[in-house]
Amino acid sequence: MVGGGHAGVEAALVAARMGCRTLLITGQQSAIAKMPCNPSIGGLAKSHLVVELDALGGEMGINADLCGFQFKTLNASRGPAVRATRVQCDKRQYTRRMQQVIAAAPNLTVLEDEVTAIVIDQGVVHGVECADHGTVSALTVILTTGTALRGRIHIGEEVTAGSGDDRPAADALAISLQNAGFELIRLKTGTPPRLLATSIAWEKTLIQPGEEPPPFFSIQTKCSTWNIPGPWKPGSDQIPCWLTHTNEQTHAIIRDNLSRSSLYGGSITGTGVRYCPSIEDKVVKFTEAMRHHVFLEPEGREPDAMIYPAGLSNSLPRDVQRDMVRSVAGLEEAEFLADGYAIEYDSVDARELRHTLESLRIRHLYLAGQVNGTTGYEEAAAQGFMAGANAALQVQGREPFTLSRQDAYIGVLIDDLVTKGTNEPYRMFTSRAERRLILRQDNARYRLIEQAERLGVAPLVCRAQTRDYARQIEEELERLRHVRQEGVPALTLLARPEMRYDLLHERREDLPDAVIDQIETRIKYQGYIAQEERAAARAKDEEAVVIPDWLDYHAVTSLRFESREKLMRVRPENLGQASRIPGVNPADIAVLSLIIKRGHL
Amino acid sequence: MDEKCYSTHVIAAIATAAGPAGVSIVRVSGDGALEVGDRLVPGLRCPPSQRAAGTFFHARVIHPVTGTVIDDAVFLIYRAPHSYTGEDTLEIQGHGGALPSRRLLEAVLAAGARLAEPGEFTRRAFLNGRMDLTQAEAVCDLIQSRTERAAHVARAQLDGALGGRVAALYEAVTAVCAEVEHLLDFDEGELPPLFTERASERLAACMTEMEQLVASWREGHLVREGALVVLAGRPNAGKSSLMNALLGIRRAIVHDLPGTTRDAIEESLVLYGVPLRLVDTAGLRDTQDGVEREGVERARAMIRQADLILYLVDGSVPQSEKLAEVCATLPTGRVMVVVTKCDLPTSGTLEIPSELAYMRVSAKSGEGLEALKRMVAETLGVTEETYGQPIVSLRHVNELRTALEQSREARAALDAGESGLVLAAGHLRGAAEALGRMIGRVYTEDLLDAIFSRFCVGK
Repeated sequence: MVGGGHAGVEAALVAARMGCRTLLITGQQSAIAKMPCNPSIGGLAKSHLVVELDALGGEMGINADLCGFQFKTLNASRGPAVRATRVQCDKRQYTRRMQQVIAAAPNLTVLEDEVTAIVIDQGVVHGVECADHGTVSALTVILTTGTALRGRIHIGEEVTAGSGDDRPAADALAISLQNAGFELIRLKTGTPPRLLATSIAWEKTLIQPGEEPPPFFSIQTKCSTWNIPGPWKPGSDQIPCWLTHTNEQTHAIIRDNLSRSSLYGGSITGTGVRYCPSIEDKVVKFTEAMRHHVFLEPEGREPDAMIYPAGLSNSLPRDVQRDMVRSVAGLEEAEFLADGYAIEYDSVDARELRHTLESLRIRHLYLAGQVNGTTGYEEAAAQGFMAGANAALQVQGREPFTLSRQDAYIGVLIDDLVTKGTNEPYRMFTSRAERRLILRQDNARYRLIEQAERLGVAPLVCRAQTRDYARQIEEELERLRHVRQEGVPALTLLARPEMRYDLLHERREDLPDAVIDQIETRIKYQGYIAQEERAAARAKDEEAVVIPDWLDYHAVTSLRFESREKLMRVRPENLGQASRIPGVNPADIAVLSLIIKRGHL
Repeated sequence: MDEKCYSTHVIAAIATAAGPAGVSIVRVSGDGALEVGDRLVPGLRCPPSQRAAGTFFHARVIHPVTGTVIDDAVFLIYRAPHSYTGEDTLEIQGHGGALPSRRLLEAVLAAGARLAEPGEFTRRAFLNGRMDLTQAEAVCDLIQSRTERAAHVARAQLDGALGGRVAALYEAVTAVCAEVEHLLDFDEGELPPLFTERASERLAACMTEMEQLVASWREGHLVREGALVVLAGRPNAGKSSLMNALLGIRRAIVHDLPGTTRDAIEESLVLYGVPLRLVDTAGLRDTQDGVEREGVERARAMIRQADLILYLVDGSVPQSEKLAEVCATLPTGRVMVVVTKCDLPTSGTLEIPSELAYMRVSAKSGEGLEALKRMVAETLGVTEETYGQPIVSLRHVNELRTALEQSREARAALDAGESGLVLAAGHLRGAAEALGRMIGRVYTEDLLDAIFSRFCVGK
């Protein structure tokens, strides 16, 4: 394991829990599981990833639940398919607890050193080269380098090497990857300045309270019989966030100093996140907007904690940042604890990977997280888990573990990355999933139970409860099929939008709320769910058409030249994946399909 | 999978239409097509396989086995990938007419080519990336079309008239979908004012366009498959006589004995360029005769499917039925009353419901026949003016219907506001995908089957 961020942590934990001797090498042991950007876990679509990860046995969900101090449900009025959870976390506690879990994990050792190269022999990776400890050999290597590869921090005209949050950059490893034949692309992300909580005039801002009862991510937190030590009782004593807005003056300051911003001054070449733009971007691109949201999010419980002003990410010079921030209502006296900055880093083209996140080029080498072009803790953690699990299966000589787009958001994420690649930091969205109504957050534990059982790292008690609940859901649905109330079938009644299970005369009083929620959702969306399940089955058929090894795209002259190039680059595993490659049009797929059916070139 | 469908074996076929003509063309395509040509012109200093692409020459064609002179012909050389099929291709232009072209083809087959399957040139063109699905489909229709007119329509599709309209719809629906998706993925709290109303309005505009295209299906279907025109009426109303008169031959057995026609008889007829499937049915009456009863049942089934029903009434005998009542049982808007035997003296008054068109004819004297033919063509809605309108295929109309249905559902979901957004997005996606499948922007396996099942691809 190279790297101890959110991807590295999940990868190391799952591999160790699956019984592999695992070494986690990080440049800075104290930085393991740090949250260098926003202090929250989850959010739209991202929370789907966290919950799926939790169902499979990942650590992020439970860690956020235990260290969270504000819990919210997003998109609550828009139905279960897009409903999501966001948890504001105490950054210090989050990092500390995760480090404790790592320290306590059997089979897992942490080594503080800089990895300078990967050791490759005849297309197979055999270990890594470290700056202090020399060569460390391994059967598999997982790279989760985040923003470290040739990381450059930009604040106005200043440029320094680093991977953010005072961690070192990894230039040597970038060169090693390049020498191994990887094409590196330059990406950019950024973070706002940090402000001192006691310097903010809260009365000028709008309070954003948490939700009671708190919505948790993890099955472990929800299992009442389960008691995991954390900094406080999960969900207790929630503290609020605050909302304020930029104004015309803020925008004027930014416009006047655009030439001094790293982004617009020209020193940054990497592509930024379209969906999480810097404030310079917003002012330049949305000229008609009079104001933009600024959420003030505490990074910890203590009164003098840092405040993360979400929405003010920028790469302006230090003095301009101060003027700009202090023009916002409530922030007039704001004291800076850290400056905002933009960071540029190298990532690989994820189309060089398989669905297991193993490199197509170098066997037994896995890559996960930001190095694959994603942004976000959750996206990183999901990939880390999948890479770790597959590396472990590889070592143990077992079948690889992949999730399809029809199974999970994790499947959508990885399929998008390895099929389409990305030229800007990739963030998860619900619209990226074709089967949103069956890939809900609320049913993640049920749809992934088989996979969780196979990996065997999710706590036994959770898996047992999932099986038990699943059985209760089926039994109750079956019973309801025969129940009528005033002549109307119970299932018809429950399909009405306003109808609740609790209002049925013949309800059962002994069912857990989680079971009742599932029953209500399944009945209300019955038609849609059935339709998506049929579509999913069709898509799986297409995914079952494996592209055979003898299919040499070079030789298929009937494919357009661009298609041939794209297909050779991605090397899709099946027809379904091939059809999603941008630039490969339906007619090309039709040609492939006919050739595969024919059985020869 | 049929192996021969795919091999690049040299295939050949007569490329020109059958019938008297000045020139007939035999097209030869595949790996070795030019070598096949070599064997047809033995002793030529520069045989076809040595010649450059885009050149032509004149030579005497000799049968490679019998050695007899076949024809004087012009040879055109195409080399891969610059030909219709994308393969090496030879076009041999010989003298026109059925016999000379058949002899030429026979010689080509003797020289090592195999007779092409229906649509095989096109399938190869498609496989070699020379045309997209829409174009391949149009060519396929062209080959199968019964009439000149259908060929025109298929050609219009080739040029993308339909493709352009559907592409615009696809873009429009996708744009609405993108806005809804955007809203779902950014939790900014409230909906922008009038968001759902505007989305719904834009969708409604798309639906109007889709409806227009669906409406043109009727014409498309009439042109492609022939309009089903059913002759119906009481026994002995003169259905078989009229059928024979329209066809100008004696096809149906005509007899004064009521119930002579016990099964449906179908004949093809082209009326003003519109192919008709003219069906004579058993007279409608309650009967104890098992065979006849079966015939009556089939007649009723035909009536249900008919594009136009000519309901015949014998004008020479008193009516035993109330015409208005009978016509009420027939599909509305598709009935025309024909009063037959108008050469005989009329018997009393005939009450014809005012909303129905009617004609008087005599199969015997020919009176009113021309007028009837004109009226049938007009009622079917195919006139000279409708020439060249986009006419959609069965697959197209089904996709359009899906898109319409999905759009309708999407609007209903949008009306529900916030809680309906996810469902609306799903339906919008469904609508966009259906449109995308029409123009080859969206791929699914069944799509391929739908198009190429008419060729010998797949089973």
